[in-house]
Amino acid sequence: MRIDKIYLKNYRQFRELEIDLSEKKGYDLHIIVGTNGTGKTNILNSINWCLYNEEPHLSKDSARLPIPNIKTIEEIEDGETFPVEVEVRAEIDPDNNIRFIRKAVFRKADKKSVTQQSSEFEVVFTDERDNTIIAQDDEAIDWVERTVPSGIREFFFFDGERLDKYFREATGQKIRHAVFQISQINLLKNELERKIEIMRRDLTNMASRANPNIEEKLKELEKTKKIISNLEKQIEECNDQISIAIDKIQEYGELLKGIPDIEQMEVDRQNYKNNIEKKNKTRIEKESDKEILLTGYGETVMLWPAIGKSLRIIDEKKNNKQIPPTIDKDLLDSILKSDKCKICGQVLDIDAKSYVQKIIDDTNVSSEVAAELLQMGFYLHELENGFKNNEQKIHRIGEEINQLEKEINENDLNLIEINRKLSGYDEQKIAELHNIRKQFEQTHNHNQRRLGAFIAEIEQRNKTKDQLQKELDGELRKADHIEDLKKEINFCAKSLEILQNTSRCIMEETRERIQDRTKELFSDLTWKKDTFRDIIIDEDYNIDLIHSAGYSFLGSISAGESELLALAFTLALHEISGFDAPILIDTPVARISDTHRNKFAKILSEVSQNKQVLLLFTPSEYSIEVSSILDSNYATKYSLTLSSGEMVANMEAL
Amino acid sequence: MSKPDRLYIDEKDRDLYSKVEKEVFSNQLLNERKNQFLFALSIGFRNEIRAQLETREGFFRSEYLLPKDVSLINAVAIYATDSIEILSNIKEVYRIAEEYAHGGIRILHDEIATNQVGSYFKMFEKDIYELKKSLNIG
Amino acid sequence: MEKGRVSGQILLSIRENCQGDEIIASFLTKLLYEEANHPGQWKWRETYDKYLHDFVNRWEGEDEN
Repeated sequence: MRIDKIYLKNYRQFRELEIDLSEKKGYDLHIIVGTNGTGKTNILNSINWCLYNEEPHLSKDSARLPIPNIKTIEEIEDGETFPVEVEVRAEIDPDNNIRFIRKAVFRKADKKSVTQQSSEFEVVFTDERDNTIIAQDDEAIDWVERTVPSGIREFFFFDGERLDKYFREATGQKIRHAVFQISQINLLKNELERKIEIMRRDLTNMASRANPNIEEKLKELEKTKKIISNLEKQIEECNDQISIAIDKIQEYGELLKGIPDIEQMEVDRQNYKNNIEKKNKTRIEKESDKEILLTGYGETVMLWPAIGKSLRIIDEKKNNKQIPPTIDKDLLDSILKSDKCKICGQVLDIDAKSYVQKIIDDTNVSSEVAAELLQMGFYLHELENGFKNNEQKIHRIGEEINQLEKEINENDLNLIEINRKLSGYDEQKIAELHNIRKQFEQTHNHNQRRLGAFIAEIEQRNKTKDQLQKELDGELRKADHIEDLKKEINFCAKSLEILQNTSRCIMEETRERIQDRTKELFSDLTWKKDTFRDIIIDEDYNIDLIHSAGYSFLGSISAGESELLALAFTLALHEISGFDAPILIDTPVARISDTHRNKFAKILSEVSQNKQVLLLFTPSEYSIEVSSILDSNYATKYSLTLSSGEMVANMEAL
Repeated sequence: MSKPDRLYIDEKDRDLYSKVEKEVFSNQLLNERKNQFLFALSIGFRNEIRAQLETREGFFRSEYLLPKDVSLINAVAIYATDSIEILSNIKEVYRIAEEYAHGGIRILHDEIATNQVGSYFKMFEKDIYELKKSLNIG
Repeated sequence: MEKGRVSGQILLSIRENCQGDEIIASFLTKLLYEEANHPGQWKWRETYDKYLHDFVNRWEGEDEN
């Protein structure tokens, strides 16, 4: 298929415009050059809007505006209606044209607002008998799906700036699905296999009436096929969910790029706070312990002169054996007073009295005092001995307190730092974004697990199905009087087998050919020929680029090289699948450096010899390296400008 | 001689003890009046300030004094009177202690009043080590 | 002329996998073109039953049994 003309009426910047894309001079290359904002990307959007009722490449500015042209809105009266239309006229082959027409009617509510009143989509073509057929609704959509299926349009209608993200966003599943559709294997599997299977089943049902065993086997087989069909649906659902989750994880990852992990910082912040609290509590306890020790220690130091003096007196008295007392002075005093010896009971004469007096005089420490002195000696010596120990304890606790203060300070600084980092961020919003991304990660993992389980189960069920089919065939062979039926059943079975083998062969062949052609094209395009050794596309259509040193390096190539690889793959896909649709690329060399644009231009020019290529450039992209190649090879070339206060785009053929 | 059943402070000192409580006597040891008294006594002794009590007011019971506390009070009395005989006059021993405590609590109060809140023990620690050095202890 | 397009690769591959069974190859090719000409839902049953009947009759002597 190639696009012959695009007609736009009141669509965005385009008031009324027909873009002629006729093939000329053996090249089917079409160039449109316009600065940003002139409507280049909206040409791509117009095709998407027409075919799929979507505008996937809207800029922020365009997204704020309604679809209809602003100038038109301004000029009509309030309450009036007006149409918006995009028509894509295409050639399926030289004698076969098809028109895709989308029309929407809008009503102007007031100065700047409009509401859509209706929308219709038609596909117009001529049949074998040259009758004009107008397909509408589902039939029209089916025609779109047959020509440029919506699920694979990103392999035909490119936004060049997104190409570097190509391999991150297009999972192997998506690509496999695209190849499936492009190479028409869906016709084989979804239509032919399904319908022949229905026929076989009905025939077998008829045959089963001749033999109850057949009926039984058939029932079991149908049951198993139904389970398999459900599992296939669930697998598809899982893959969709996984695909969506990957996209979303990517999207939120981009949003959160450069933003700190708020959740972790919150955890850290709380930890620092808890540490500070804990250490402060310990510090206060230790300070109290130190104060207690210091008080006792301080008292000892302050009273030291008294303590020292008492200890000296006590030690002297001990040395002189005055303490503990050997003579009870109090007893002697009471004997003298009573004039009578309390031990022997004798009355004291003068000599005896003088003798006792002399002993009393010589004994200069009373028992009471001696007892006090002895006790004092014990406790004061204890104080003296414990003195050094207490001093060491005080020092040690002092050091522990210093250490705690240091740690508290460190935690405090860390807390200040985290608070500084977090200030200025809307923590709640960021936490929300993290949460949402986490949910998608969980969905992804959950569906991966489910997928694994379903795949394992479907394998098992398929084995059962094959076994049951064998048994059923066995029963059929044994059955009598249903030869015709059996023949038809066999015919269907053989057809199914051939279809299944064909699908497998085509997928494998297609994969290998795409792989080889991608490698050839990439090798041709790349400027680092010695760096890469191979390109591998596995059966799940995951693409890998192998370095000459043997390791995978897809993840570390530049944006430009990524675009090269995406282009090589897409061209290979188009070529090998035989799928005949145009390639449209918006800003094709935006991410390619000047020196390599030449190569790109050459390749695109070559491709256009066999396939329609439409390229939308900014003036800076359409540099001398590009124009020197393309200017001699284009079929049509236009420049795009804005007028009427930047509300209407004009296209001029060059 | 019968032992007095309590030790006394000057009536005016009660207020001073309350005022220094938060800053100095907040820890669990010094919360007890006996220990507050002994601390004030030590400060009075160190500064050699003994002052007669004007109006006596009971502060704590003498039975709360531990033998170690009694030893210290006795040592102060021996030092003050330069005689061990003072030990036979417990009343006198207590009086000497009370007078030193009376002098000490005023000094303590003045120190608190003139210094930054929360800094007493830091200052005290520094002071004590200097005193220890000057007395050639240990 | 048929309007629906069928990939040449598919047609070739069907023929190869039929391994000389021209009847089945023709049958499948016929059905394939019908599908290409009728995108979406259509009343296929009667047409296909007829094709099956016709082709199976010609499939005499190639019965697997």
